[in-house]
Amino acid sequence: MMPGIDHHASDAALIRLVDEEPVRDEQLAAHVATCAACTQRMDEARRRSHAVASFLSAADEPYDAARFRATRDALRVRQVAARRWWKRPAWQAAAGVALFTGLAAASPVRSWVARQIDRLTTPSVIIPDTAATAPTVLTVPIPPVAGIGLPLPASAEVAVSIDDARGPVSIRLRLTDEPALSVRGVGGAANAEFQTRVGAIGIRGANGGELQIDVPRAARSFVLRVGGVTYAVKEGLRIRVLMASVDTVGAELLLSINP
Amino acid sequence: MDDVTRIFDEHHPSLFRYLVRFCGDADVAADAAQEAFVRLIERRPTQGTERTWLFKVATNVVLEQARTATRRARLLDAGDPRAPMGDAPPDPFEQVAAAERRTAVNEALQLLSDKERTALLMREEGFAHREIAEAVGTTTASVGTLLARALERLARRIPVDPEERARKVQ
Repeated sequence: MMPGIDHHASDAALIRLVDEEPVRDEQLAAHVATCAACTQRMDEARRRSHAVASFLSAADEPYDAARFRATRDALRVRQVAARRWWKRPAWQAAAGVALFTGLAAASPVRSWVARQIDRLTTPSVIIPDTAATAPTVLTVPIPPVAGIGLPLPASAEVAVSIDDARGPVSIRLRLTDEPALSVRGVGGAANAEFQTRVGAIGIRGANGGELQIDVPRAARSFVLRVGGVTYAVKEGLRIRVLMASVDTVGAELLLSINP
Repeated sequence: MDDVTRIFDEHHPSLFRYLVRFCGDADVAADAAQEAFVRLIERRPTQGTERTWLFKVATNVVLEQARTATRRARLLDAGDPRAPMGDAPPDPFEQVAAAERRTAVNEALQLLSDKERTALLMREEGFAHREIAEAVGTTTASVGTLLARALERLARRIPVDPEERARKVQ
């Protein structure tokens, strides 16, 4: 044993040396290099490490990149969407209004600012009126929009659950060829809390408005639950609605919930 | 190439292999890996490397799922092992042998604690002890202890090669 060291290296210290981790105890490292017992134990730790690596890799199958191509593509689409939402004009307008409001809060021209904000937040659509000389101006407020997407999991089983709705909410269900389940909240539903779990999207606290749910045709199963109650399920290439008060608009289904 | 595409190509094969070994179920592994990438897009880590973050998040996803009784039963069921990756080998004898190897590995890994298993399998993917410590939520010094214990337990379960046994006897 080296002078100054009165013990052999621990198993943990030997593993650190085998893994070539930064040496924290130079004296101990020097001891292991010259101590026959420690060197033998370190060789044994190295052999054990190789044996475990071989044991584990013997059960591995080759990575099948084709299997995950759809996941990779769906993630790319989702990333683009995630980058874009804040670039949308409605969000930019809202951000501008919020900034303007904040700056104007202490201003002596508050009433003038308030009038300008009213004008900005209710964009106008001008419809030509042939009968009159002056155009008729209709104000069409742009509802807020928010949403979330979820690439199909390996099991291809997906679900959407809606909880704690705070007002009447319309639900628009549609089958699509997209590889991802997606939910978009419009109006009061845009303020809901959107969350993803494996194979599921949860929406909490929708306050009126509309939830637009796009269900991939490729999904093996889909379940829509509202407050824990199953409202709709996917059967083959159809969506079966289990609740009343349903309208059909083309290829879409329109449900309504009223908490 | 997009960020996520590059990160996916770089880390998904390793993450998926790690998760298949960790939970013994290719479907659970695929879902957890996907969920980790979805969370990466939504909340990019501000500290540490993306790779460590992905492994940590995916491990937590698997553990969360495993906490439900049905999923736990599925994870621990070694009686009907599923092919972890790719298509099954066409040779029926090789298929049986591969299934036996997977069962042996799954059974051996299930003997380890979650932390030991995470540390050992992350080490196999080339992580440094500092990164393993970050993912497991422990100190770098403790990682050596976790690894030594895991290797020792696992080594006991490895079938001894007849040639190796003969060499030891000599």
